[in-house]
Amino acid sequence: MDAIELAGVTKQYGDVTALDDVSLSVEKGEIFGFLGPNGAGKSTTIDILLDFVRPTDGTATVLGLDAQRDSLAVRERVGILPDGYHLYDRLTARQHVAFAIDSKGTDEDPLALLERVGIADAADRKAGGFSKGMKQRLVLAMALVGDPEILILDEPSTGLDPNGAREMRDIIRAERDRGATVFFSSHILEQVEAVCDRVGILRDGKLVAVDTIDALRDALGTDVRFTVGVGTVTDDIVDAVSAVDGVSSVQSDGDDTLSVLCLDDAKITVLHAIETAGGTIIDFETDETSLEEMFAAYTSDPSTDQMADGEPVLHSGDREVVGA
Amino acid sequence: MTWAVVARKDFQDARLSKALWTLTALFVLMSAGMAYLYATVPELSGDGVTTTGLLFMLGAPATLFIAIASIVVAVTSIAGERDSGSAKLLLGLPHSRRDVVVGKLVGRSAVLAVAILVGLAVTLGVLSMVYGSISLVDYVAFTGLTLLLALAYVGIMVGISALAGTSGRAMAVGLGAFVALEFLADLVPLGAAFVRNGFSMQGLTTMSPGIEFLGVVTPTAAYQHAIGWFLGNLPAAGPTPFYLTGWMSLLLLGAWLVVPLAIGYRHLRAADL
Repeated sequence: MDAIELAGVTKQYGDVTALDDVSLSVEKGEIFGFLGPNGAGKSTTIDILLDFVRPTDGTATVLGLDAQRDSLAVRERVGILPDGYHLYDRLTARQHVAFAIDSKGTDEDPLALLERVGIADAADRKAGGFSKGMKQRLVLAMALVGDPEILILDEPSTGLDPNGAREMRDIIRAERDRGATVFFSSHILEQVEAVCDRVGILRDGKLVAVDTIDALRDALGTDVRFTVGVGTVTDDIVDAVSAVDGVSSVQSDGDDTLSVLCLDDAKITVLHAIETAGGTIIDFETDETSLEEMFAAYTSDPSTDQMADGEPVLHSGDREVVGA
Repeated sequence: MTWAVVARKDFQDARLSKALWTLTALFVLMSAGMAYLYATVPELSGDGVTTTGLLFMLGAPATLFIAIASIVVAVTSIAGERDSGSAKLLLGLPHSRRDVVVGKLVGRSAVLAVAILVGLAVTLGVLSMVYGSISLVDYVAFTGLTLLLALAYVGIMVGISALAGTSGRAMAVGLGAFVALEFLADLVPLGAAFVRNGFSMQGLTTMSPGIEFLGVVTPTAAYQHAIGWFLGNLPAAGPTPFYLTGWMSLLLLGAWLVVPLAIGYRHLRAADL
């Protein structure tokens, strides 16, 4: 049984399709990153998992329970940090956590949970005066009540400083290590890259890819940027490298470094060509396709569009390809 | 069933509303002030100070206070949470939407009940000082009826809140309901009598029982009718049909509590947040 399973989930608001036939499985015990630009449908998906909204078509299952019919049972076993929430301004942090504890019928200590998210010193202050980062921590504390089997976090690092974001990641990992499944959405790639086992990429309501970050990078990255320190850049060297099959551009970067954009498997030939042309390889470095580029390609590039909509390009092995 | 948890949270939250306590202070002033005047100014009590006369007098500020305070306390109770996004925290926890509606009703009614009890206790204090012989039993019954009216009004406002998607709309509908129930409804029996009389006011002196009933349907009218029936000495000219008794008024108050809530809940149950 998967932690989360979506089967053909579609959500329409009048003429607008927020989600279009999304199918997805999140395994128990993994950290799953749900990526996409704002408005792609991430929050709608989460809203359906919690029965805030009802799908127009398809079914969502959480821990084997129907997310709509058995929503109460689902919410007993899930901790949620929603997007666009609002706290009860007149209630203190402690009262908020106590409310979550009472709601879930556990007997935890509110202060211990506030301690864990780093705002124990503000326990008796009213939430109305909290900064965005403190609010985010407070809602995380509420989500952690009752050691939920699944944590659903919608843009959890919103409003957190780098330190806060790191603490958030630590808590996410600790929860995974405890055995929880973590499903979190983000449009901030570093967050996802740092912590996720697998990611799904959502664009315009469609799931365009699901895989590990490494595999997605491999599948997408045709050209790599490749920087070679060659001592002295000469025209001969540039010409020789340009002539190599698979090289799409060569630039001199200062007078001792070449920057080459080429297919991954052309790298050795490039190095060889440089030596043949009289250059000396001092060092070289490959820049991986940045997640940012990958993300952009999946979410906006028309050629990726084709890739995702047409024949599977992300194929082979255990990779899962989601086309429209 | 977690409505009690929702109710407690709501009580904690709503009792801190400054608007509510401003209104309560006004209510105490009006209620205690009227009691003082009634007991001390002979022209107001007419043919002598009686507990019944006094309670009728106190009914007026109480109904006005309840109608307005229930809007302040309850009309945005659900719609406001949907508007702001706190509903996502509330319903992200294991509460059914029915628990939310019931919890809101109980929590907000409790806040209003505290305000009413404070107001009526102060009034009782004033009365016992200026006017010794008030019937405590009658006063307690009056308080009970007043709390029932408050419950019915909070039910109407929570029902409207569940029905309206946004707090702006809930506020507009709530104010509309207030005007309709407190002012426009008085015109209905008059209009009906006018129509039955052949679109003429001529010779319109007595009302038929059916038209009389139309005059005691709204929560406030039912409340006042119940006070008269149970606490007053209404002269009984022949047998009274059931629908004109105080028991019917209690039933009507119960209906005002249940029906708007049920309609609101049915809508909320099916709604996307």
